[in-house]
Amino acid sequence: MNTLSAAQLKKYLTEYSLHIEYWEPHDGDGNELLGCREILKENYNALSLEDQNTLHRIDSEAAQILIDYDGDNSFDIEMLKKAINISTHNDRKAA
Amino acid sequence: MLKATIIDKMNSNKAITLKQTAIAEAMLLNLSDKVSKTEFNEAWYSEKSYNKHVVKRTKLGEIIDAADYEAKTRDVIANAQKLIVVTPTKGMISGKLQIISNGWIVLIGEEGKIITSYPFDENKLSFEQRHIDNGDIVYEYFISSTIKKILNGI
Repeated sequence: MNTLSAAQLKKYLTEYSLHIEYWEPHDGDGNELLGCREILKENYNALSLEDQNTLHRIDSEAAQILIDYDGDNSFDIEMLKKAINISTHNDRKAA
Repeated sequence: MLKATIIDKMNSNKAITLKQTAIAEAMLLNLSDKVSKTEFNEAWYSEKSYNKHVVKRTKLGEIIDAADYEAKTRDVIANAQKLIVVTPTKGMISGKLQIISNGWIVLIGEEGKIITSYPFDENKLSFEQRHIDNGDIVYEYFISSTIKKILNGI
């Protein structure tokens, strides 16, 4: 992993926010948003306090999308759940 | 590392590989047919999804407008050299086919329609590596010259 500048991290934060804003789990299009989330996780300590709070807010939006979704669990959905560490009602139904 | 994993799987599954190649090329031809004969947005998984991608990618500064997005995506399909085919193995849905060309990626779903089209970013874990890490089946194919000629015509 390259060392990322503050500007690059800001860019990934903005990108992650946009991916979540337009993401629908059944579209099977999560690789980019997962990529952003992983970069932000690896560089969490380099984020400003404000950006850390923004990341938590976006994660909450992502969690809500996953909680509201009641379709089949695809690969992207499973990966995002792991990334933001939540379980959904699909998991609870299966348990 | 990626190549070794794929080649290892191909050597141990030659019959499956031949079948997968035929399916992958058929999907690609089906897509090229759609792209050349219909409106570009009809080649997508859904029109709603296509419209969202145009807005998002414009905001991200990756494209200028819908026409630019179409041109970039068509360029990937027309100049495709190889395909990556992924089949999840742990009870999850959504096999996918990936085409990469000139730093841009197009993902196609099982129905042969475009799921997404986006620029390659070296900082992000690649689609195929993510699936390899998950233990999924990942195949890489070089596209035959016959198929390439058809694709070049779109």
